[in-house]
Amino acid sequence: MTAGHHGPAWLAAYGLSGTLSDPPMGPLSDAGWAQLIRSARAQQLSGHLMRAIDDGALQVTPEQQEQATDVHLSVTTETLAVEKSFVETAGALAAAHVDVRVLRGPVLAHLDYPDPGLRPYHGVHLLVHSADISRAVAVLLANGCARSAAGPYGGSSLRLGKGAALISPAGLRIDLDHTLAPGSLGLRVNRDQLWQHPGTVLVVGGVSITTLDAAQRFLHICYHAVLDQSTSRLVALRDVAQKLLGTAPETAAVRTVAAAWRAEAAMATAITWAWRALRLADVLALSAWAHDYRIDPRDERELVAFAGPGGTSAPGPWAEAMVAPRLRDKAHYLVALARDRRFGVDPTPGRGVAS
Amino acid sequence: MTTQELAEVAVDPAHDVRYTRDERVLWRRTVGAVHFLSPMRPGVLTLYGAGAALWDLLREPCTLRRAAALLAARYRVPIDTVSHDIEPILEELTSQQILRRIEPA
Repeated sequence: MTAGHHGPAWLAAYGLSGTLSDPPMGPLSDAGWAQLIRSARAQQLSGHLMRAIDDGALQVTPEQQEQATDVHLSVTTETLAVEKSFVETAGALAAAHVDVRVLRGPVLAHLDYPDPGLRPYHGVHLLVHSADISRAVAVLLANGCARSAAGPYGGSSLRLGKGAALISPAGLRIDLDHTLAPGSLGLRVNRDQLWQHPGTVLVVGGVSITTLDAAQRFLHICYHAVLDQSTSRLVALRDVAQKLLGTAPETAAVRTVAAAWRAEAAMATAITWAWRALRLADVLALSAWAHDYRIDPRDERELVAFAGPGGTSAPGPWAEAMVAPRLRDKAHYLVALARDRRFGVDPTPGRGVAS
Repeated sequence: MTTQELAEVAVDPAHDVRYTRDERVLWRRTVGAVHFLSPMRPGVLTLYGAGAALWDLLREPCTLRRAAALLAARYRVPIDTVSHDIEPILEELTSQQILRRIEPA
């Protein structure tokens, strides 16, 4: 399994302490610039590009500066639209007394980066109790959302992936997850524990919403960095480094949760990839641990099986059960499939959550 | 502007109308600009240059006069000129529900 990212690693590493990556000598040729600006947009790195230009670290022509500004404004506008959907969704669920935890984009942007403009995001991801998923879907349908034609994980339903997917009135995707990773990985996440230790209260657009605790949140970032094989892999690796080099969670707490969820392989892979891709020289307790960690081939096969666009590959329930590394996991997984049907989940692929 | 002169335009919540950011507004800062989603109209509203600097000031409630004084010091122009320029901006942003007007206590 390899990181397989494409794009300007120096840009993803820009501003991180301890990176050995330097911006290229500018101004770039037309072809070089076209490739950079395309990658900056695709990899959600336009904020770093603007900062590198503003700092004078990357020399650009006036035309290139204008183009970078336009791209970043476009990305910023898209993110604000997603953030509006996030606020409306969180507000509607709060009003209906559906307990949620905010995941991914808004948390990273507002809590982990020094400026939220450095971390654009595309989707709304909320953690909902398994037992509340159907009710949450009903609330959002009543608020003008529609069911997503494809489920969040390969057109399948709750049993195959992590939750349910809807489309907001503005046409943006909303994922309601009940765990933090697909398939057998997600089943090893202690779902009760996710709700027992609330994290920070994030206030966005006047709406207050709670995050996961710091250790759980870091592991979720790691899952995403390893399993998401979309074009935005570099920004996911930047998230891992940003968290560890900035508002780092307590090492002992992270290791404890990773051991309990048997998520060490995902965490070690994510950290190793981030350190390698972003050419980070600083050695931290967790980067040293990740460097020394030997991944069991069965765990690696499991990660490969669930890696896909958006970190959401859904190979099918039997295949998922078979890639679970241990016999106990296979049995646990199949039992959980039966249990999740009790929460109103239509098991037919593509049908999503039954209302 | 000296510290003494700034002190003379200190905020008095008991007597002054103040302005601050509406916490419901979604916004992003970019180099030299601030972009907002206005609750009152579709699309993104952008403030550039001194307008963006005004937004930075309004992290905390501030009177027109004090905001004008701080911007005048920064851009080296007379307070009255700045005050004249930013008053309609404050009113417009308030009507767009991007700023909140706080009446004297």
